[in-house]
Amino acid sequence: MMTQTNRPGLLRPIPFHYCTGCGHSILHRLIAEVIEDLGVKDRAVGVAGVGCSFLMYDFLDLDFASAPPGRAPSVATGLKRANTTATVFTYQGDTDAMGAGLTDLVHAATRQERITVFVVNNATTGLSGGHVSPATPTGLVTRTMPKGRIPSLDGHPVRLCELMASLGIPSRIERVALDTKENVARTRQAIGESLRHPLEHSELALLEILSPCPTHWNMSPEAALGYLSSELTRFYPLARFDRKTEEGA
Amino acid sequence: MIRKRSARPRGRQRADTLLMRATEALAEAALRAGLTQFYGTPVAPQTELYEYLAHNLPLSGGTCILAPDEASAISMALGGAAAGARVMTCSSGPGIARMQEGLAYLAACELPALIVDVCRGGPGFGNIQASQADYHTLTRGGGNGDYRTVVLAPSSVQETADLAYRAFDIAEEYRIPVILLLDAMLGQMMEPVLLPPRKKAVPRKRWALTGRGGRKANVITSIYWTSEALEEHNYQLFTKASRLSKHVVQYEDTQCKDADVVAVAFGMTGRVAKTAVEKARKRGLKMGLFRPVTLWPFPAEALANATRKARSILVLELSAGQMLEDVKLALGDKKPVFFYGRTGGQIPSPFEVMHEVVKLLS
Repeated sequence: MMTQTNRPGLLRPIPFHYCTGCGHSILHRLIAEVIEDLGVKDRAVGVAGVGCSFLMYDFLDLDFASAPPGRAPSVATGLKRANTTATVFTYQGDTDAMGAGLTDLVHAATRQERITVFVVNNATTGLSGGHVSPATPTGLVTRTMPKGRIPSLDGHPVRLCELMASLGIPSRIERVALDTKENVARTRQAIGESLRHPLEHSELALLEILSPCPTHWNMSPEAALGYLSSELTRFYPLARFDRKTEEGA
Repeated sequence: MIRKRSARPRGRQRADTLLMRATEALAEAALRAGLTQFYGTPVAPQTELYEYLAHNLPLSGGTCILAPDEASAISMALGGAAAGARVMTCSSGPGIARMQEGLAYLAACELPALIVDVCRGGPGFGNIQASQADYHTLTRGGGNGDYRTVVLAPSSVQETADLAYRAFDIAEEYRIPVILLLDAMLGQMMEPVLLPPRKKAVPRKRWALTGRGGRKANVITSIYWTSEALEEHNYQLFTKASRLSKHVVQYEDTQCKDADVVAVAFGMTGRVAKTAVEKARKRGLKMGLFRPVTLWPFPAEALANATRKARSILVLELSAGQMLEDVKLALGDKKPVFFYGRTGGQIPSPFEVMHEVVKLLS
């Protein structure tokens, strides 16, 4: 594993506004590093979804559009179809992609849009103060579900990668996590593969990243990583879900 | 169009006069204006527009695909517009309601796009007959927040093609979404149309998202996180109104000069009223017609001028009275303003309109 300490040039020299222990700052950095490594910064266009990371274009020095809630895959579709050599990616949260945006994502995948979709799943709607999200697992108490999710009443959590894989269409689908050093390194690698995939294979790449939210999980940053490792990955196994299954599941 | 659908006129640019349906003439004019992306939605009565482009847009390398719903369609258009492409989407009825989210974003992000509403009866599902009841939704900015969009209302197939062609230029010059409002009847109507020449190139946009290349990164967003920044942005959006009022406003004024009664009507109703004016004049009734072509900005000043001598104003609409409010705002309490409207897909006949004029004169 390599050690990297210098700040990637694509990451503007301003402090992150994220809470202590939040996964977004790690992910922003990883994406900035990978886009530099791939040499696509001059033709990369990002689409920021709605969530805590909705201002991510303040941090990443790239062309960026900001999408209506859930519509990032559709906005990316228009951008990519107008500019077929661009590397177009979306960066969305679990509420954004699995709630309002589920239709947009499913249909972008069925059309084999040549885009990369990053879905940062922290199992809560962080931006509006930590209320329940479509991905909140049972057992996690949120401000709008004080007893935790009761499936017969509140519904079951959405397993996005499994759902998308069930479509059986050509695409790259993987779930990774930010809980350990090894998994962060794996995430970095998966980001690179997911960014390259649409151009190489003419299909959509979906990367779901399980990410800690200590603030709204009411945990210390350390405990949040522990919860992510022990509980969240049980609900959401880390694996490749598409037809190329040489690596997992 | 009489000739085979896939046989779009190609080759030398010539003055093509064809017999076309309004929705098809609109599509062809948009193609000639440089349209490269169309996102289709499956709502009647606008299907012919989508059908025409499905045959013809891919021929020039453009994108014409089905969107899962109208919110997605307009978001795809937003993406295309953000990349600098000429984009269009079209819907009707509840589909237009679902597009309002994207319209607010397009307006806030100052992105040019053409949105077509082939207006049908509502509210809710309503029916697929002709209506003008989307007037408020479109001219007031049906999405959230403080914004307006340019709304153009043609009343013939020729005008539909001309306005569609012009709409892209307005949209790009002012960086504002433009809505073309047809109704179900005009949409289906066939007339001879002289098509505009094909544009060789469209202006490059320095703000477009194409990858930052050698320049500073571009960001297209509707987020202004401080109240100061958002207020400044919103005021800036509204400075467009006065510029548009000066340079874009369009209307038709028919025999208003000496008219005792001036009818105010747009689109299909304007057309009915025009026939009513001919019939009324033959009988010695001094009727005139003022037909706004831009519904926003509304030609308020021109209307006040055109009706200076009129004794009364008769607003005609395929709704329960929506433009009526703009007419009253334009004229204040200077003139008595009367209203005659039909809804649900009913269209008044010229005789019906003339009868209303007779009532006002007696």
